[in-house]
Amino acid sequence: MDDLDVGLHLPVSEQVFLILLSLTGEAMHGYGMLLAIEERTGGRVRLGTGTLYSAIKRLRADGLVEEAPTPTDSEDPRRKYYRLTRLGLGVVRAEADRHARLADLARAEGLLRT
Amino acid sequence: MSPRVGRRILDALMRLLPPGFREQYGDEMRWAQERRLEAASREGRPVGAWVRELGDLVRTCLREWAGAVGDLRHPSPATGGRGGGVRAYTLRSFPQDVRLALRGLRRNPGFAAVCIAMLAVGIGANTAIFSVVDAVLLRSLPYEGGNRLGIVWTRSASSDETLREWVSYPDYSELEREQRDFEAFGGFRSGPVTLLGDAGAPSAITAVYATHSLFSVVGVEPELGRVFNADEDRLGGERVVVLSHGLWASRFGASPGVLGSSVVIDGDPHTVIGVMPEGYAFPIRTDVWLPGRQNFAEDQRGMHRLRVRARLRPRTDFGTASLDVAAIGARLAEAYPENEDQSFWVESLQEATVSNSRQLLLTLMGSVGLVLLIVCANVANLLLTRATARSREVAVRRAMGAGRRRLLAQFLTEGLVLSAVGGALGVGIAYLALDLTLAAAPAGAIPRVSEITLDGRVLVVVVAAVLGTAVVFGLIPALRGSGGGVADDLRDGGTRSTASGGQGVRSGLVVLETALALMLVFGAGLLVRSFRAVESVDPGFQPDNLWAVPVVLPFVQYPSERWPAVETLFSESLREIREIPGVTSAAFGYAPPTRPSWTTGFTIRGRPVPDPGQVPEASYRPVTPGYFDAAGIRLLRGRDFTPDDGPTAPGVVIVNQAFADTHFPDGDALGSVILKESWWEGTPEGEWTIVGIAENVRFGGRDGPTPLPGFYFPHAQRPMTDMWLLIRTQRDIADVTRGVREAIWRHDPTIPLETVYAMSTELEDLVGPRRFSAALMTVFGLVALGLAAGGLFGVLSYTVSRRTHEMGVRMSLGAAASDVRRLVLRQALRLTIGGLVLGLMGAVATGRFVASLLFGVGGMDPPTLTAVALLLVAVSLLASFVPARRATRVDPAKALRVE
Repeated sequence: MDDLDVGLHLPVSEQVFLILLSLTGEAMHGYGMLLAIEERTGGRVRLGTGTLYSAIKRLRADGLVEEAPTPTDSEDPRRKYYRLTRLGLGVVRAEADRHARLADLARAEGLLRT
Repeated sequence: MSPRVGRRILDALMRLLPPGFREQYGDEMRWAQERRLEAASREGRPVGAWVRELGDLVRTCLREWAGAVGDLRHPSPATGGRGGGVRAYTLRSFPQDVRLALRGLRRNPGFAAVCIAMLAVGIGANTAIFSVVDAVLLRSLPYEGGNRLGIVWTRSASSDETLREWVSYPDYSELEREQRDFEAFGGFRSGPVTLLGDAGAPSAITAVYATHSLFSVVGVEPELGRVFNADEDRLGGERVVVLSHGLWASRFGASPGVLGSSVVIDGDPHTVIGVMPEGYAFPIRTDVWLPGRQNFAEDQRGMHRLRVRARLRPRTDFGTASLDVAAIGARLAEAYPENEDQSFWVESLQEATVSNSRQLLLTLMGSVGLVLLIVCANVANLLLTRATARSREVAVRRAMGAGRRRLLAQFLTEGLVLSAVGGALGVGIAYLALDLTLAAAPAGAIPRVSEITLDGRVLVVVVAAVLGTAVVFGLIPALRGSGGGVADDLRDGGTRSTASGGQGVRSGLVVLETALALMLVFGAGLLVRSFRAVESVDPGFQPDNLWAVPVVLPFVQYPSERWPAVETLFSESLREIREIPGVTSAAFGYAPPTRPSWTTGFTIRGRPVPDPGQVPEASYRPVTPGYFDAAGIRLLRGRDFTPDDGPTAPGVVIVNQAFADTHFPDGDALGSVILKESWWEGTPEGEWTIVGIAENVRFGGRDGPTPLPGFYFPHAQRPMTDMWLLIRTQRDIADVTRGVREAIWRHDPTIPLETVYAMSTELEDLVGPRRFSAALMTVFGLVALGLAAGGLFGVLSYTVSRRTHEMGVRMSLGAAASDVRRLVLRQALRLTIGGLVLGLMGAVATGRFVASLLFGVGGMDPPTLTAVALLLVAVSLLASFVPARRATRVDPAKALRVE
């Protein structure tokens, strides 16, 4: 993976960013991702199940997310686990970095409190 | 919403997801959904979560099916750049698709022209009819807060029947004082008055006698001057007049100097105080407004001669207001014997204005909707044919890497381009059609005509129709055209496959078209038959060569003390009129036989006196001797009135047959005596001997209400000032009218005699709305029939061309031309019969829907249904003739060489 590939996927929408962010730790199933996003945003963002899976499908097609092996202790065979690919991790990092730099600019103009 | 039902709905929606997506993620999604719904119900908010999941699922369906639509919640690309997914790609390719579509259509101009023409007709007809429906049924009246305007009616307190009787002035006064639900309350009545010109003939104009409060019901300011005030609107108030814009322009040269000038109305000078703006026609179209209370302040309770208009207060409704006025009605019923069994109710003015035409308009709207559906089916069929013909092109593009979705988008774009061009032309057609329709519409068939326009609202609907039709007719061909095996299509190039490949869909579309056409033609047939049934009804009089001239004596100059003068004027001028050369017969009467008259209560001598409220009613008309002869009404028994039936002679009446049948079923009407209540307040009750029985006349035209019991009395015995002259003549009516004017003006030159009505035209006009709707429906039915026949023709031609190879084989193996022809005809009949069966079910619905518009036929009229079915079979055989003949001309040698 090089910077060029990552750059082609930028910028990403807030929804996609949050989905990618939810997978930065361990592999997760869809419902877990929904809960993580809800928790992380304090309930502000509550994705619909359909929206989530539409996005997963697209992110897998773009190579940002992949299916992870199901843990042996999984109680329900229906749930599948997903994790970030290296490209996906690169994209979410680059996006976060982009936002941080934008925030720095705003801060320099006195728009944000430090 | 029980959890089980909610789950069922989610399951059903899941099935609507594209199969690939569903297989891959469906189970997981359901699992996650259930966890989430469980969690939500633990937190005590199950419904909100369920609704959100449902909405999300619908959006996901749309998004996954049509990648081009994109993420509905986030229109910005989810991931930018090259890897942005299918969505970004297809959106960006839209202009390219449009260019491709246009190029493709230019290559195939015949195909494009046929599709666009059909779409233009379909969308145009829908646009035109919708603009009428929108203006008449959907919009509020063209006044501020028009949907809060109401009418107060008198009704019976004991019966549930919806009665629309006017209000008496004493009742009006109490209603106005006691009501709480209206912010403005006004009453009026209207009538002809005489306007004396500075020079030339007097003219009869329409006057509205209104309470001053009536103007504030709609709150429109006058264009010039002011409206009258409470001080003028009272008995003995100053005589003032407010002019309409039309009268101001035509009689006063639109001069602002008219204010303060004096005009003579009904013999009295009135001061002009205001002019209303152009188009102002409240409460009705009129020439002048006069202070009402000067005219009706002395009306008696029981004389229901006032029409009431009122404006609801905000935050109340007609139901509440009805209860309120009913309560007032109950109080009045206790206080006054005249008000016994009498109450009031409130109707929305908008509802009252349009209720008569609602069924007709909805029928027309439904009809053009069906026409558009047939158009969609036809265009879908043509597109399917084209898609099959292009399967090789599609296969090549797929082989070169075009995705299915990309092709789907391109097919849909083609449909959209066709539909958009068709829609644009359709708006043009709608303009023309609307003008034509409104010009052809008889007066009174469509209310609120002046408000009908094609405007932004209508154009929004056009855009919706364009998008809707594009999807309806574009989706099936698009799905079929973009699918299919690449290798197969590349191999045989789509030239030789047999009846497969969309044939089922095509046949289904033709069956559907046939069914829809059957429904439409059946509806048209019912209306046409109703119209003919009406035309064959005997109106009860002879309308040909019969003319009517209203002769209205200014009431104020002919009060009851001058009745002898009134009688002399009518009888002497009549004698002179009868001597005008060319006049076959002439008489006075109220009113012409096409129009209703007044009604009155009566009793019959020698019979028990009925309870109050049970007194029978009959319509009654004053006529001069010779009326029945002039009008062509047959006298069935007894005699006509004679000059001897004068003011001092015993009272006599001639009853109609309905009266004799109702009240004298034993045939002993002649010689019996009617006791009539006093004619007007203050006149004595009278005894009237029945001397004749006349044929029933359908007042209100051939399809007018069944004749009510009624009687005629000699004008000389109770003179009235408001009469009509009936003249039967073969001569030019203009010449005769000159003589009539001379004869009447010799007695009083201030009587207006401008208008002459031809009774045959009057009678025709009364069935005008019927003729109009039957004609319009026939046009729609024929269009539908033509479209369905075209659809069938297209499918059969297509089959024949696709099966040329097969037919060649058959014929080289010994099949005769007739066998091949039968093959084609059998397919035609199969499709038609399928359509008829389906259409029969639709016809039941059609019949029910138009039932209220029918006359003399039932909604399920078997002869009409049979005729329509036979017509459809005949038309489809006609449509299959050419393809069948082409099939028999197949040259086996050539057909087999097609390879």
